[in-house]
Amino acid sequence: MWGSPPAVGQGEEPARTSRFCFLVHQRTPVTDTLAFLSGDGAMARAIRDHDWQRTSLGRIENWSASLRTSVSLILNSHFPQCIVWGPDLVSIPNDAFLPILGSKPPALGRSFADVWAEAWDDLAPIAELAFAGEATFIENYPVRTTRFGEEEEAFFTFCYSPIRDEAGTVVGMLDTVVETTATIRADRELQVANRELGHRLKNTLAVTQAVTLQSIRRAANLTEAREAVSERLAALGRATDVLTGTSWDAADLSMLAGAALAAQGDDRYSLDGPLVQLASAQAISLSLALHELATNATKYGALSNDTGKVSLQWRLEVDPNRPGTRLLIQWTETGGPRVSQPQRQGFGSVLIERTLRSSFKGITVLDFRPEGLVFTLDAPWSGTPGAGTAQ
Amino acid sequence: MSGEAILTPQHTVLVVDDEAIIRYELVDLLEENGFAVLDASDADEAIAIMENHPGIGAVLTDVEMPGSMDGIKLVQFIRNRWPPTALFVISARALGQGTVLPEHTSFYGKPLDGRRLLRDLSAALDG
Repeated sequence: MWGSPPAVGQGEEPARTSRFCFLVHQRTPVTDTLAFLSGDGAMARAIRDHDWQRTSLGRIENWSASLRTSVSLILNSHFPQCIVWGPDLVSIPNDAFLPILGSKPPALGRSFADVWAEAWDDLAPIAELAFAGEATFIENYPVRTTRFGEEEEAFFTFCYSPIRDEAGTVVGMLDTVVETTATIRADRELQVANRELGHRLKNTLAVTQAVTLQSIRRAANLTEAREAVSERLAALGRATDVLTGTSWDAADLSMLAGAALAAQGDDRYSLDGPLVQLASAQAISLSLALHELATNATKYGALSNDTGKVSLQWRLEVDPNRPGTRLLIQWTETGGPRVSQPQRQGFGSVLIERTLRSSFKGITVLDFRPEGLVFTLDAPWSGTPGAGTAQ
Repeated sequence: MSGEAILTPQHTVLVVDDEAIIRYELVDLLEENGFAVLDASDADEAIAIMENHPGIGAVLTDVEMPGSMDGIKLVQFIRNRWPPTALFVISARALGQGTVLPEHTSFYGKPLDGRRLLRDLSAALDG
């Protein structure tokens, strides 16, 4: 089957049992000395057009069979490959290799050492091994390169393998390479993201632990503790939903309030305020506080009868007597039963007052007015509406 | 700030954490177990408290906090300024490579193992 193909022009049918013979039969006449540069790829054309007499390879018509075969092999490959030939390390890349070179000057006919001058100190020993007859396969090898004008760390999985002539002498090297920079960078970003996710998860667990222990510590009995823990963790979950729906770093006050109050299943809330972004710790504190306010309103306040209402308003305000912009949040209950000051301060009140005060570095007032509870938060705020966060 | 009226300096712990819910839980945990506790939400506030309450026995601080310094710099500052203070660092993040804590500083991951913290605090303050 590996015998000589039929001569072109003799009109013989190729053997139907041998597809290989058929393909060989269709090739260019053997009299074409550049027939090995088959195909119309950019590098095939460039090799044809290159002035090889200016290199140690000499006239292309005089190239050795091993060089011709090697060149033909890489030109017919879609895998990035580059032949490095002779003591001058003359480079002959294929089309698939070109993206690896970036914006470097054309590598064709130049010394491989010159093409990769910025990394040659690292690459030279590997190339020397290939020219000594030993192939080297390396995965994700880091290379400092300036191929796009700026120094970068790129990664390559490659094999430098010796090319021998008919006598077995090493006459060149074949660089077969795949760039893995994107994969390595994606892996590194994933590791960073995983570490950050782990940090956020553990921080959320710490908040969950504190909310749970505080709820148990301040509950009158086990039933009350169970309910409080369950509801507060659900509120924490809703705040987490809003945060994970964005970047986690900040959350829209309106979305937080909407999520916190929608969970109460009552449509007697009205929300009004501009777009204001809150930092994640503030978002969690406010969500828990709104949950406590809503729970209190449902059990004892404006929403404990059929006529009461709750208004949540916020605004940004410049007070001429104080520096910077202030964020003012006000929860107002109306139409409910007469309100009196509670006998003891539960964790709900702590969440509403002390936690918000600390998170926002602001002033909080929980005013149990007879006509309805009013809660206000007055805190410094930085940034532009929709972009900044409370300080 | 809490527990101001019953300070016994060598058994007083300063809790520093910007996450208010966590801070209040730590304060309650320590007070329930017989410690006098002060608390601060950042390093600047913590240093001001240290200045005004000489002889605080231990500082328990978070790492990531707003303000002029984080918890690592805070414990380094305290070690230099008030060397005998027992130092405890807590964080939801593992300590970064190259992060150096002052000698004899304990590190705890969040969420905290409260029993271990109480045991170590007692040992540090009673020893």
